[in-house]
Amino acid sequence: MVDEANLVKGCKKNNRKSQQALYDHYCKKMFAVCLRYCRKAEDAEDVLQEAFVKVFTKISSFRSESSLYYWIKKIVINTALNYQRSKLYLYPMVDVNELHYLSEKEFTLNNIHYNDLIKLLQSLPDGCRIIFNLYAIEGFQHKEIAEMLSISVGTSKSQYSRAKFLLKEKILNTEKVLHGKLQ
Amino acid sequence: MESYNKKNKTDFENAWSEALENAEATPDSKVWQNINNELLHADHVRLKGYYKTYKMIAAASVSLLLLAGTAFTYFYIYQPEYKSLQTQTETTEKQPEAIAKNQQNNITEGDKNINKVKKNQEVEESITESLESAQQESSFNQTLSNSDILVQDKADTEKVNNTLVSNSSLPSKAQKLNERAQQSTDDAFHAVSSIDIKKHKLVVFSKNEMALPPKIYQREQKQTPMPNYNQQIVLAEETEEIEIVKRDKSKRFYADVNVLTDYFNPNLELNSPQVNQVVIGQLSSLSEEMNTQLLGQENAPSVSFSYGINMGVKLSGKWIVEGGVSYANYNTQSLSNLAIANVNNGIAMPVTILNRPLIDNETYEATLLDLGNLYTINNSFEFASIPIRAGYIVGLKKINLILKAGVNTGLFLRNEISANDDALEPYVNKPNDSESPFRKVHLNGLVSNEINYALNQNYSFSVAANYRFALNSLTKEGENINSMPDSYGIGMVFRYHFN
Repeated sequence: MVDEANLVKGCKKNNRKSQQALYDHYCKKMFAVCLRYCRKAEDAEDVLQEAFVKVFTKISSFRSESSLYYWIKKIVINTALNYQRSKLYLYPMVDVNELHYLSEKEFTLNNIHYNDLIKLLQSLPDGCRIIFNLYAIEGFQHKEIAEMLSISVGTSKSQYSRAKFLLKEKILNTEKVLHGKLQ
Repeated sequence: MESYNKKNKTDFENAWSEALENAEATPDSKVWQNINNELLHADHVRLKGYYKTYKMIAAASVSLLLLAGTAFTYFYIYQPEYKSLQTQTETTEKQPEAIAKNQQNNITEGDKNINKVKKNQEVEESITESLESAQQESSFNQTLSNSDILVQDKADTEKVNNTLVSNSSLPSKAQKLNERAQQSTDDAFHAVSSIDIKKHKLVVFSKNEMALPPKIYQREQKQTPMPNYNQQIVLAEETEEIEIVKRDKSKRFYADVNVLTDYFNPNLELNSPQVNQVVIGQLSSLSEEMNTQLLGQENAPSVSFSYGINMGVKLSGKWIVEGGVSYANYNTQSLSNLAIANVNNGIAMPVTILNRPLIDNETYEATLLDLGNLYTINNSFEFASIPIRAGYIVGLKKINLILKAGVNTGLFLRNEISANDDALEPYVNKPNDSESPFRKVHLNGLVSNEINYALNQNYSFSVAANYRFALNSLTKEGENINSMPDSYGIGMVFRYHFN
């Protein structure tokens, strides 16, 4: 069991061993977060690297009252958003028609490993992928997302709707492949 | 946020959230190496920032000392003697009404001051009479004395002088006063000469005995002694003058003890930029991500000090020459995660460019320490020094500024490369070691200044600022590294002046 308080104390003293221990403890979970936001693993590694450098340089501002995991995750998400922001400027998100073709009742992902789910997310267009992550997984509201990404609430909703549609389609296809229905 | 998510969102969203809640993926190991390198770089930037700050503080201190010295020199030493009567008369011209109003008061005050003047006795009666007659006419007030050096109070001198000027509302009157002052001095000389010109002289000198030599006025010079506010005019016997001169000579020698805090930079440079690459090549089996910064080329100053003793002599009134011996311990810091281990006993030592050649030695084997563990490498130099300096004293007062420059012969005593970790043994370079990259003797230039305060006749205290710069390389010829160190020092000097 890792003693987070001691790790944080060591990191605040710029102790490299503590920093590495902290990295080792959280890098896998945070890398998974990065992979959800980035299309390529190389990009995700860049984000992870940049995020942890920020963690170690800003650790003095961390207050023990909050959870270290969520504090680091917040930095990772913000870094990922900044990393993607240039792409979002290049390819601005626009409203798309909301799609409700598939039923959401009794929807489960039990049969799919999270590695495959991450790959599905990575296959989404940049805008869709980011908004889906923020809304469905991180739990942000569309209003918050709109403020974070400087877009309209409508754009956030429509992009999310599109992401959901694309994902359901891909999941259905995956299940068909898994059950041999496409043959 | 997540509870809200689960309550208010659809099964689809919750399914995703739950499915990815414990998702993990292993990043490439180079990510940590890159993070480590970035943190290393940040550490170096921070250390360099400290060094820059130290430099700025040192520069600011030197500037302040110079400024203080200059200000002191201007206000206390080279302050113009009393404003000429003509200048003051100009002031009088500008404010005739105000002066007219104060005229009566000034006369009264002037009379009071005059009354404070000590009376001469037998031999000097004639001088006193001349002076008093001049003063009663609001004239020159300065000259008075007896055979035991009678001193006129300087405040009285000022007040009377002011009174004299203020009383004159017109330039013509001031001119007359000036002439009368001259006349009164001449009368004083006449009086002296009528007694014994060989035994008595009018002398102007400072009340501060250290401020020598006195200025002697002969009758033939026909020059009016015009002492400034901290000087005094006396009638001295020739024998006393000789005594003064003797006393001056006796204070020519001094000894001091100095203690300084230093900021030292070895300014290490690789003669060949390929050396780093060679080392990296040698260590490539250890890490492909070797960083050149790890060779400890960049040093940040750490706590350093020096102390010494000097003997000096005054060559003339203001020039001095001094020499002595001193000891200096200069410390700098760098960062590294490299080490060399003795293959026979396994003892590991930190490695920097100063002991890098050991990597080529078969007895040692380079090793890369735990990548996650960064060691602070302390690079400690010890020198014995023999400084020789010439100096110039600006002013001869209780407080003065001493500017010095000279050369320093530095004798290398020891260099120790140690890490802040008990697992590593320190590596030591000594003068006679064949592998030592350092010269036994090197030369420095020295520039320093002091603000000196005379505590009493024998002791004085200085705040000193030193700058020392290399005149030749600290490292031997043919070494891959070159070092032209410089250092800033701020400290104190306690000085004893021999009687």
